[in-house]
Amino acid sequence: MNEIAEKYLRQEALPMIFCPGCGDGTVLGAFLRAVDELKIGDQLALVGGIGCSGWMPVYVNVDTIHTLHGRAIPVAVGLKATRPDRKVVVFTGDGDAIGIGGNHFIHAARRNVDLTVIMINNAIYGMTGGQAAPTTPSGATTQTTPYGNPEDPFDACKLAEAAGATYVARWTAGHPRQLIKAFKEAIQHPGFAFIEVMTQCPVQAGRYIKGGLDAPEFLADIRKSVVTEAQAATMPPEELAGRTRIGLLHRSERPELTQRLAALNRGEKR
Amino acid sequence: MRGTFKIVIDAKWCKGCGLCLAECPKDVLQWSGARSAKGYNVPVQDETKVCTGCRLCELICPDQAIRVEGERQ
Repeated sequence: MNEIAEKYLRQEALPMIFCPGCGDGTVLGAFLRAVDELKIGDQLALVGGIGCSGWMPVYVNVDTIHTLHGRAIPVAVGLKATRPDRKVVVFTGDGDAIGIGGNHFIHAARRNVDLTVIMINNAIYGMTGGQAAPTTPSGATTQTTPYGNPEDPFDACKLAEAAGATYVARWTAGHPRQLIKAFKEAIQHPGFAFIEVMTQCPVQAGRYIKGGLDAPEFLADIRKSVVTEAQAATMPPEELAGRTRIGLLHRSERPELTQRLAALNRGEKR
Repeated sequence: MRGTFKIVIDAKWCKGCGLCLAECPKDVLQWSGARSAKGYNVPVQDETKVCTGCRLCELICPDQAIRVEGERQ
């Protein structure tokens, strides 16, 4: 075990519940390295929803809330409103954030609350056995769509940007160094920061969508399916078709909710 | 190449997913073939190959089981 994990993880809670080859542990490792580089371990407060990704904050030895399904963001908003000195980070899954908690997600983005929301996107409901999620690709076979998914998936980053998030980035579990940088930027960003991380789920998405349980192969396929802005500039259009854009997708500045609330409490009219 | 590096894989936490083997640009890691107490095949460092200390295996390991010892000079 490396020094970062020894420093931040609850040793008595290990091993992590994640299946062999799951990307959640990689993302958590990148997050811990970002926290270590920023030296904000004592200011953190983590909130997790339900699902595999909801377990990620549980292993970190800081103040943690494990909430109801889809309700990680409203709990985090309440926490941030009462304790604005804390760096509140939400770990949520695709089903948790934009499926069951979709309404909470868009309204937190609209209010521009100073949160960092890390959405782990495995394109399926993994913990409950592989049901179709709002991010499952069209035509994919899952437990609940045995004849192929007839729906089109959400683009969570476009949704966040349209709803008013002021920092939006997308990376994959195969980009740990870029993730560390993005987490550092998002934590320091004063406003609603949203990071989507596309991960391999070798057991459920592997079994139903891909038809193989090999984690390294899955991760290699995810890497092939994405493209950065610099790569897209030099790529011919036929090669670019069907690829997902990764990198920093949107960044802007807007008044933040908890600061507005603090101004109201001081009696300042706006 | 500067510095020598030792890759320590903790058999207590390793789940044998093979991400570190796929990630290593120098193919320094290989399957040991031996089973850990939990029944997983834990990779080991191939001493005949040179580790450059990039720490990609440490970063990609989902179970934080890998530690790369040694500093770049």
